[in-house]
Order: sequence, then C-alpha cells, then structure tokens
Amino acid sequence: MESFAFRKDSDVSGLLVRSLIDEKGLVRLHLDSYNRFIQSEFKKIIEEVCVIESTKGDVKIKAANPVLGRPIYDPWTGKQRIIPEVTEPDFVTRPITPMEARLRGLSYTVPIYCDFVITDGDDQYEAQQVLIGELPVMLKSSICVTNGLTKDQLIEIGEDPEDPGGYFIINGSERIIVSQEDLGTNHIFVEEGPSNSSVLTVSKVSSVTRTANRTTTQAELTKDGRIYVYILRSKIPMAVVFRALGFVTDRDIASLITRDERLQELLTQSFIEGETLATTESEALRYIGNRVLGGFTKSTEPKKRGEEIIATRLLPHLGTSNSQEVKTKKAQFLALMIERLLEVNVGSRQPTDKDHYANKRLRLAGDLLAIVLRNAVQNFVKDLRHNLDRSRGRKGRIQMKALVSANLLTDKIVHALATGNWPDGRTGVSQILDRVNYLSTLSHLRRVVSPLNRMHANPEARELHMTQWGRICPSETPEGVNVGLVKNLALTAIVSVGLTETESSRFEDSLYRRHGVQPLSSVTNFTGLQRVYFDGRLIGYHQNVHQLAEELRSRRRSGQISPEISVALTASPDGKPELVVTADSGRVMRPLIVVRNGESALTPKHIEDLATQRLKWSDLVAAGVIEYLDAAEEENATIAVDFETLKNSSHPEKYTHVEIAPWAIMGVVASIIPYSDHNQSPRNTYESAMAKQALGLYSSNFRIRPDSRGHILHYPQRPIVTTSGARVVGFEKRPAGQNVILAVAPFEGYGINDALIINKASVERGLGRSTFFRLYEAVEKKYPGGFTDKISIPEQTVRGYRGSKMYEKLDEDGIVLPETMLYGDEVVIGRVSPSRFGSQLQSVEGGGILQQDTSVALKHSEQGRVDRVIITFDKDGNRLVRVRVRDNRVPELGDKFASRHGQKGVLAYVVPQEDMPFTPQGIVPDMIINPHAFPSRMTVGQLIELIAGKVGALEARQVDGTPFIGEEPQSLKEALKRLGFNPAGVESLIDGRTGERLQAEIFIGVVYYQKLHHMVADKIHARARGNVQITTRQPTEGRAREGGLRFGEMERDVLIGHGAAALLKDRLLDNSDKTTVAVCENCGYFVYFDSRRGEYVCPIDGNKAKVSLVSVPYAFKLLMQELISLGISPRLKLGEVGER
Amino acid sequence: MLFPIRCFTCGKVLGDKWDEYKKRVDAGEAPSKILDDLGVKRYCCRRMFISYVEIMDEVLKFTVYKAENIGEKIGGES
Amino acid sequence: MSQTELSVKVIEDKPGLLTVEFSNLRREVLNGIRRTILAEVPTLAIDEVLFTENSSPIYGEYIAHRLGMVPIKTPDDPEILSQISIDIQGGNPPNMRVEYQLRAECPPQLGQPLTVSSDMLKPLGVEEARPVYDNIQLFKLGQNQVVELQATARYGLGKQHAKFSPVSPVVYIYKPVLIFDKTKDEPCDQHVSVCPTNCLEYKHGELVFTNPWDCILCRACEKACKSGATKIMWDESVARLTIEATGSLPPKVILKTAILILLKKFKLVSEKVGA
Repeated sequence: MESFAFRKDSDVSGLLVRSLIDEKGLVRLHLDSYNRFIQSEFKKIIEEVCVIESTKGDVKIKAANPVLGRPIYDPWTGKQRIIPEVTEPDFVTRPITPMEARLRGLSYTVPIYCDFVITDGDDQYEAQQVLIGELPVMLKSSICVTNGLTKDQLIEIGEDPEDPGGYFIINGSERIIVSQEDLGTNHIFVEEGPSNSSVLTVSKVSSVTRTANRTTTQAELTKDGRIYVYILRSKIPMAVVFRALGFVTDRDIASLITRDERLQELLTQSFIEGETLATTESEALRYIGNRVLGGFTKSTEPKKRGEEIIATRLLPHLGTSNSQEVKTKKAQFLALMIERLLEVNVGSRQPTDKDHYANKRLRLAGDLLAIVLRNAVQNFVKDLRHNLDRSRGRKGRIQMKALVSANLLTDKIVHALATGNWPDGRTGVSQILDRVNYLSTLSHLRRVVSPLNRMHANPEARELHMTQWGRICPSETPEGVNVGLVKNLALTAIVSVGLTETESSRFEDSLYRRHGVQPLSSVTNFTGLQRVYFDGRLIGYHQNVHQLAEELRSRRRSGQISPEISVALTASPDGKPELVVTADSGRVMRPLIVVRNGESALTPKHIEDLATQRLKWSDLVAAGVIEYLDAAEEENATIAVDFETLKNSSHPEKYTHVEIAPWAIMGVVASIIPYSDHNQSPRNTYESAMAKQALGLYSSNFRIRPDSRGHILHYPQRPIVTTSGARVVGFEKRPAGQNVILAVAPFEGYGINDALIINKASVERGLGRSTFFRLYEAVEKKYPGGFTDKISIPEQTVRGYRGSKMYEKLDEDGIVLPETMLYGDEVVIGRVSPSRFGSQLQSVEGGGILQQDTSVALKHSEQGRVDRVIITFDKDGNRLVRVRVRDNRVPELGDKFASRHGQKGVLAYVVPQEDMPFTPQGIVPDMIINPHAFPSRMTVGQLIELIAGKVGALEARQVDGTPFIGEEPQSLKEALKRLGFNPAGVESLIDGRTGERLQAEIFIGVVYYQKLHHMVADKIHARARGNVQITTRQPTEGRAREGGLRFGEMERDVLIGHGAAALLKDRLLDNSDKTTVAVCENCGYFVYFDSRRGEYVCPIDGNKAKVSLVSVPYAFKLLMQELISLGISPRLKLGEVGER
Repeated sequence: MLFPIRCFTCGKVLGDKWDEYKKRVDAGEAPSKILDDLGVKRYCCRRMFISYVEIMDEVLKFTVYKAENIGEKIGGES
Repeated sequence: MSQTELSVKVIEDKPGLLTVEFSNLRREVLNGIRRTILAEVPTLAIDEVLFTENSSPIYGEYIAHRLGMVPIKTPDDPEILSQISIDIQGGNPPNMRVEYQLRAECPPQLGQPLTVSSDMLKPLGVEEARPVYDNIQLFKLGQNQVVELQATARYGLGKQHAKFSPVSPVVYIYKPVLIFDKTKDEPCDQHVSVCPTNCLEYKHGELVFTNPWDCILCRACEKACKSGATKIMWDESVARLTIEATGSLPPKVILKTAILILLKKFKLVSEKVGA
C-alpha cells in the first residue's frame, strides 16, 4: 500500500534519509557501542583488573582470555553461535529469548567464562575455565538471538519486527542506558579561573583509558605567576612534575613548553619555586611520592610511590608504564597544556568554548557498561583475594570453581542497570524504556542527557548552540528544570565508534610514514612547520597541513581510511594553520553530500539506483559521495542548504557540501510535526513533549507482552498530512492518533480555555477508543525453614481476611479466570503467607502456623476484565502468577487530546450528533475547537494542516507536510478550489439545533489528533469519610490511598478573611483529627486514665490532679509528646472560653 | 487495527468496501478513482480509507508464548 | 416568494438515497424532521454479545463494538416503527429481540488470517433480520484461533447510541440566492472564476446562477467582488432534504416514520392538554 507517493521534490532527501535509517536503524549508536564493548573493551577490562595476588605474595592468579557464552546451535541461522542463556535454579543452562525473559521476570544475559592462570611460586598450573558472571545482552546486538532473523522468525519468538532494540532486559523489565553528554576526554580545555580565587587560568584534561580508567589532570596559573599541576587533587609545582618526567633543566622545560619568548617569561616564578623543591629527577619523584595522598599505592618508599603515581595517575591515556618513552609523551602533553594556559592568559587564545559540539562526546551504553564492569571486576577481585587467602591453609591444588562466586559480578552489573545508580556516582543512567507509543520509545533511545547540575542555572549550556545543527533536535527538550540539559539526537546524527587501539596506532604510524609528518622529537628547526594534532595530542609537524588535510580527506572519501576520522584545520594564535585529526569515540557526526568543484557528487544516477535498491547508503559513503563531518571539521565546510542553492549560486565552487535533508535537523518526535516551519518555535517543543504521551500501537506483540501498564488505541490511523520524517521513522507503521474532522468555531462557550467539543456519535462509532492494560502479579515465595506462600483462596481464619465477597471471583486455584469482570479492591490473585512471627508462635500455640493474607487486589479506583493469566516460574524457581486486566476506555468528559502543534485540550462537551452543525454534504465535525486557540499561539502549521488534510482526503492521497520542502499552502488552496470547496477551507454550516444557517463560514477540515494518556478515569477522585494516617490521625493524602482533598493554606485564608470561624474549626478540627485529651490543671501536663482504678492519674500530681477534658487536634497532642521526649516542658494552661 | 465498519463522522457503512478498495489499489488503480466508484465521496469517509494501517495480520500472529517450544527449538540439536 | 403553499417535490429517489425539495416548510419543522430521523427513528442493532469462546488476540469489547456497528435489516412498517420509538421514549422498550450465532475457526492449513464477514452472522428465527451487507469485515482470526459468540439485537434509538441511527447523514440545504446589483457593478470576471463549484455565469452584464443548488454558499464570489455588487443569500422557504440510509430501512420509510413519530408526539401533547 505504498502507492501514495510524494511529489518529486522531497523524494531525494526522503530517499537518502530512508536508506540511512533502513540500513542502520535509529538505535545504531547503542548497538555499535555495545558491540564494540563486547568485542574488545570487555576483555581488556577483565584482563587488566583481574590480577589477584594472595597477601603473602606467593600465589598469583591472572585472568586470561575471557569469553562470552558458549556457541550453541541456532536453528534459525543454522549456525553455531553465541546467544543469551539462562541458568535455571536446578543449574541447567539453556538458551532464552527476550520474550521469555520479559514474561518470567528474568534478565537477558550471556555467561562470561574466563581462564585463570595460577602461578604458585615458580609452579604454573594449567589454566582453568570458570564461569565468573553474566553480562546483560543488548537487544538486536551481535549476540542477541534476534540478530539475523527474518521478520517471520522474529514473530515466532515473540518479537515485534519493528522493535528497534538497543535496550536490555533486567529482571523482566526493559531498561535503556541513556547516552550521557560529556566534555571531550583526552582533550585540553582552557578556561578562566573563578573570579574570586587566586587562580587566573586553568588548563584541564580528563584522561580516560580505553578500559574506563579515568583521572583528571589540571594545570593552573595563579596570581603570583606560578603554575601548578594537580595530580590526584594534590598541588605540585610545574617544574617538579617536569623533572619527575625526566626533563630536568629549566631550559629543557621552557623550550618544551613554548618557543615564544614572551610566554617563556611567564614561567620565571615557577622555575624559582621549582629550584627550591627539587632539582633532580629522583628528588622530584620523592617530592611527589610524599605529597600525593596515600592509599593509591602499596609501596611505602616515596620515590617508588612517586614513580607509580606518575605512571598510573598522571595522564594515563598516554600509557601506564614507567618507560622514558611514555614519560616523554606525558611531558610533551603537559607542555602543551601549559602553553595553552599561557596563551589564554596573555589573550592570544580564547578560552575553550565548552558548549561547542566539537568539544562534546557522548558516552554510550558500551562506555558506561565499561565503568560498571570495571567496578564489578574490582569487587570480584577483592572477594577472590579474600577467598584465596582463606584457602591458603588447605592442601592441594587450588580449585578456581571453589574460589569464584559468580553471583557477585552478575549482581553488581544487574544492580547498576536495575537501579540506574552508576559506580561513578551518577544516577538515572539506566531508565525503564518508555513504551507509551512507538515514537516515545525511539525518542527515549535517542535521548542525550547532560550531567550538569539541574539546580545550577548554566544558561549557556542549555541554549541551542549553532554547532548542534543537524546533531541535536532544536525542538525536543523538556520544559522546566531540565530545559536544554536533556536533548535528543537529530534524525541523521551518527555517533562515532572510534578506532580501536591497533587501528589508531596504525593510523598514527601512517601519518608519519606516508604523509610526511615529522615526529616531535625529530624536529630541530621549526621554521615553516605547522602543527599536527591527533586525538588531542600534538604528534608532530608538517610542511603544509592544508595539503595534508586534502590528502587525508581524499583517502577518507576513497575508503582507504575510516569514514569516522575527522580532519579539521584550525589556526594557532600566531596565525599558522594547524591540523587537528580526531578519531575517538562519541563524536556526533552528520552525513553531508560532498561537493567537488561546485558540483554535487551525488548524481541522478545514484538517486535512481538508491530508489531501485541497487545502491545502499554505505555504498554512497564508500564511494565518497557522502561523508560524515563532526562539529570540528564542519567549521571548515561551506554547506549549501539544498541543491537549488548550489545550482543558483554565482560561486558554486565555494561550497564544499550540500545538506542531505533540511528537515533532518529535527529529531524523531519533532519530525512528525507537519509544517512545523510555520509554527512558533515553543509550540513544536510542546508537541515534542506531548507526542510522547499519545496513545497508539506501541508494539504489535502487545497481546503477549507483560507490560505493567499500557494503552492501545482501537483504531489508530496514519496521518493524512504526513512528513518524510514520520515515514522514515516508522510512525506510519505504528501510528498514535486519528484523523479528525475539525471545525474551528465557538460552540455555546463550551470551547473556552482550550476545551474540546466532540461529537457523541463519532465516539460511539469508535473515535478515540482505547484499551488500558494493567498487570498484577504474585510470587509464591519459599522462605527459609520450609515455609512457603500459597496461592489459593484464603481461609476465613487467616489474618487480614477481607471478607468472602472479595474473593468470590477466584477460581479453585486462587487465581481469577480470564474474562471475569473485576471491580476495585476485589482479589485478583489469592495468596496466604506464613506470618512474620509465625515460626515463634507455632511453638507457643502448638497449632498450625499463623498465616497472613497477602492476596493481590485490583487497584481501589480501577475496574476491568481479566485479559490474560500467565503462570510461570521466576529465576529462583518460585511460582509466578501474572494477571493482566484490561479496561475499555471510551472518550469522556475530561479526557485529554492534542493536535500535532502543541494545541492540547480537554473534552468538555459530548454533543449529540443532531445538535452539531453540519455542512451541505452532511458532514458533522468530530471535534470543535475555539478560534481563540490560534492568535496568540501562532500555530499556523495547524491551519495549513487542516486545509492539507481536507485536500488529501478528497484526493485520496497523503499530503507531504515536511517542513521546508512540503507542499505549498498555495497549491493546496488551489487544489481545494478545484475540488469544489472554498480555497480558504471554510464551509457554510447549518446549526443542528435551530436549523439556521450559521452567519459566518466555518473553517473545517481534517486534522490529526492524538489521545493523550491523561484520562479522567485514572484521576477522578472524591471522598467523604475514609482512612486516616496512623501517626497524625489526619486524613490520608492522594487518590491511591483514597485520601481527602487538602484544605490548604489559601483555603484557610479565605475562611479567615470571611470571619467564618466556626467553619474553619469544622474543617481543620472536627473533620480532621479531633481528639479529647485529659489535662491536669495544676501542672499542665497530660494525664492518663487508670482503667483498673477507674480514675485519671497525673504523672506529677498523682490522683490529686484537677483533671479537665479538652478537645485538641491529634497532631497537637503528638507535638506536645514529641517536645516532652526532647526534654522540653510544654505546659497547658486551661481557662474558660473568652477568658484571658 | 481492523478497518472501521463505519465512518466515524457520518456513519456511512464502509466495512463492506474495504476488500474491493484494497484489491484495486494493489492492482495499481488510483485510490481516488476507486473511492469515487465505490460512492465514497465525502472527505470524512475518504480519510478512513487512506489513513487505515493494516497491522492486524501481524498482531494476530502473537497469541500465546510458550517458552518451552521456543527454548527447545534453540539448542535442541546442539 | 409570496407563495405560501407547501409543496413537496422528490428530486432524487434511489435505493438508499432520497432527496426531497420542500417549499414553504418552516425551518423548525424541517429541522425537526431531520433531528427525528437522526435520533428517534428506531432500528435493530446488536446490543449484547455473549462470547462462549475467543482465542483470538482481538478482545471481546472490540468485536462487540464492531458487531453493533453492522446495520441490520429492520421490518419497515412506519406505523410499527413510530410506535416503537414512542414506546422506547416512554420507557417501555419493546420485548423484540433477534438472536444471532457465530462460530468461526481458522484452520491451520489456511496459511493466512481468516476474515470473518457479516454473512457469517446468522440470525436465529427471524430470517429477514440479516445484516444489510454480507461482506463487512467483522474481525480476523489467526491460525487455530476460534471465536464463538451469541449476539442479541434489539430496537433502539439514535439518541441512545449512534448504531441505532437509520441514516449515515441526513442533511438539508436552503436554496442559495444570488443578489446582483447591476448599478454598482464594475466589469470583472473575478466572481465567476473564483467560484469553486462553477455555478456562476456572466450573462448580458448580469451575474446569474447556472444552477443555484450547486452553490455551497461559500461566498468566495462575494469576497472577490470588490465593487460589492455581488451578494450571496439563501432562501429558507425552499430547502432540499437528503436522506442517505445505512440500509436497515429504506429512506422513504425513514422519512415517514419520522413524521409519524412527530405526529404521535403532538397527539400525545394534545391528549395531555385535554383538547
């Protein structure tokens, strides 16, 4: 049914973006990152961290060659391959599918096996392979079952073929690792010091190794002209650090830092200070060893400590060994940091723009998992060492299986993913995947969060930076505290995976050998040489970096080097060109069409081949027609917005690239807004937030998914006015909304303040109907001591019995039958548990065990029909019963709807069809909104959509409303006239109640509306009498607890203002927590009632007290007693009313 | 998910026309002409046809998930 | 328009579609007829569904709602129908019910989903109360899925639920009137070309309707006419009523029933008043 084609204009951009997304998918960033992680980083981390020495030092265990899983025969691909497995409680391991993990509440993981090489003194034992833990598997990654399956096979294993993957299943729930925006690592940042401190300028680098070992090194220039370097938060004078790195003389240090004498002058104070502290390398090492805080190294000898610290804690990304080669590299890097510091200080260089996207990196699932794994393995090692030490007394061969506790590693990783609390202190890193609708899922997977403090204003960081063009969606961001900190990737944004270590060093090598870059140490005469940087380091000099850049770019376009490598030209403060080559991971790149000599490299032939699928996206990249630019390289590019601009330009040769699609600057959600280029910008932002709440069809396997809650729209429709973005993203396969006949008119005032008027007949015919699902579950737990829960209908004698009526819908087995209608508080799954004190009481009473009712009941304010009952076993082998209840939701007063232009409204009047106005054709609007919704909000896009929708419906085609390139409103108006309608979209209507023709013509047409998941049925709440809190005896709060409606401060003020004292007392005392207390008038304390003697007794005055009964709020009584418990003596003085 | 039996707006019965519409669209006819032939002339009814998404056939395939069957299939012949 | 005599003219009379032109019928009465047709002419529609088996992923509420939407042939005696309507409105709904049975099973060898159409909805006893159309897609079944249900149809009114309404739309339009002031006119062909329905013509220096009933009263010509010579009005005394039936009742029966309902109500009123 893909026959409703767009006009030609947008075909090219649509085709290109479609081929990109069809090939790579929208969650490629997560998959690439995870695949890279399991391919290399995972092994490196385990091998690096997992080295265990027993405290006595005689036994050494080293992990080697960690592998994921064991190859299993895969019937779909017919190959032996690694797929996720589950270990059942009886220790049987078998393959598992994602759906089974979801249904049973399991984690979708793959086991990690590792060889352990044990050396005992001089003896080396044969390596032992042991299971050390389990690693969560990302869906659709290279080790997921779904990898390489056809559509039908996916359906067979219970997966929606359109599911994007890119998430994990942890304890049955889908969790994603949200991409974290980070400042570039291993790159130097220079900034001004805080205004109130003695620090003038700071030069910083966050040094991170591939195995997630992270430290920050900082150099700062103080007001007294000295430069310090921070190592592990200890302040070390600059000269000392250089000496420790083997650069001893002041001259060596100065010339290493800069050859600009003016800047060298600024080093004087530092040298004078350095002279007094350390003059030789070993003195310097000793100084550092003494100064840097302990605990990081084992050795006690200061020099050794110093060496170790320099090796592992200073710029570890350059190497962690003690060789002079590494030390020289570190010294050179430090020199560069200090040169930049001085340049900024004298004003010849601007401080780094932290918001420039060239300086940002995204930390994706793989990088973040590396952090967790590193931490988990460290814990694992600690435990292993402990176990090893304990076992040393025993004779015989060391049995690894006995020493390793595999659950430790698994639990650490699973716990981090299940809670979102990362070992580095970040919270909310993993989140439950949003499954409200398909778009919200995709948007969630493309979310980028900035770790900046929410409380801090950070105004610049929240603003849209021009380098975010084509990388970050300009519209989609939340309102409020997180504005601009939570972002979403643009449609065509691609995140670099980075070169591997070997690729990287091979590439660096080729720069020297093939391209004539002169290594730093070999250069003596600097005249006419230009600097070359690679991944933040100065690696050498070149005669002509312009030419080098050209060479590298042409090699990249011909596929000889990775398309990810960025080649950017910048200028040094003295105006010399410099070449910055970057190939690290996490850069946000965007694809562009290459322009050669003023002509696009993309030819009509390419487009044709793309359309007939003879060419793929990657072929275009390989052919150099399309290349990826990161924000740094984009600074060198001149990009034409479209082919037209290029063609009509008088100097076409000035352009280096053409945009692929002007609309691809938008993210997944914003790109479904038709004519968004005609809207006021905040409206697009509002819609981006609302589209994620729209009900639709979130997944085609919704009938078997055990989602804790979910909504399904009965008749989802694809929008008539659509966009290239919506089609490419897959919105039309999983739509969330309906095309509604909308009239813009007043209607008896029922449309005031964004209220909606809806046609009763439309509702009755299925418009806006949805079904709500909720899952109830109960586990039949086993307790130590042989006690166990029992899923059954509870006996009357059980503690907490709810009365036989509540259990009447249960079947014999204690579970409701499918298709049973349930109402609030009725039991869904009956269950009895042994009482907490059961074991003690058993012996006392001698009878049966005391039991408690722990049945699962339907939520108090809900109702529904039992949809499905799932009975299975959880990971501990306990019986798990899950019951899904469904509830039919017909639109009713108070339900929320919104168009795609941030125009939301609440249903205020359901009008009988005969009362509605009608057009000469007999069309009655489905919905009416008030015209006041438009002037101040300026959502012109919706007005155009209305006309476009009408044209589309009449011509039986979809209309292209893609921003910037969609069908022109003018041509739509002409079409409308051609079709026999007023081109303005207005029609003459007759009032259904009086039969009169309405004086004004009414703007009426087709607009796509979304039903949002805020429905009155979930919110309606009132109470007369009910529960109170135990501590204060005041009414409970909130709908879930059937609470009262708060009589708040402002309500109180009103009554005071009216002088309605009695009403005030009624509200705040009589209808709240009124109690009667007995007070002793002599001492002013509360007295107690001795029921044996039948009299009041005062703790002070005994029975001589003069006791009076007083009505007070229970909270007041509580306050008094709390004060007393604090040692404060509050006394009550009683008197008659009116007495002073 | 299934094609609506009636036009939401005017109540015209459309459920009987979908099969023919689909057949003819698949044969390459212009949707607008088919709808004219079928007597679907109001835009409220026409939008029901052009905005319908056929997902039910896919949804129908997901009924009961039996873990054992799938589990046996994988690794069954290892 | 001086004429005040009521005249009725059938313009179009096709199965399922009836257009009648009324002259000098008051707007209130005309609209009353329209509203009565929509809301008060009773038809049979499925109102209760009992599922004895449903192993498809389409849940009962969904199927039941769809069954309700299927139009059902209703005995077309205006006298009886109007009485039923009055009874329902008086709180005495008739006891008439039609039972249906449906059982569908998708055999595993079919290889594609089975579409269950309205012809499988078999009335028990009252043979003529069949679904109007045989090929309405009720629901679909995947392999091995079974649905077995009993449905009950009863009489109801459009105001209770839209499924009981006998018409898809019922609509009337007033006769458009073109008022053209020759004296003000400046020659321009704007008004003619701007008309989306091409119902205007410039003849002998005067703007005239080619066919007034084609005009949709959109006033495009009025706005395009800068001189203000053109004005589009409408004549409430002449109107065309179009009834498009869903098929459960023929349009003429619908019209007659509606009129009978109104008459019976008036009679009731006069009886109550004691005249």
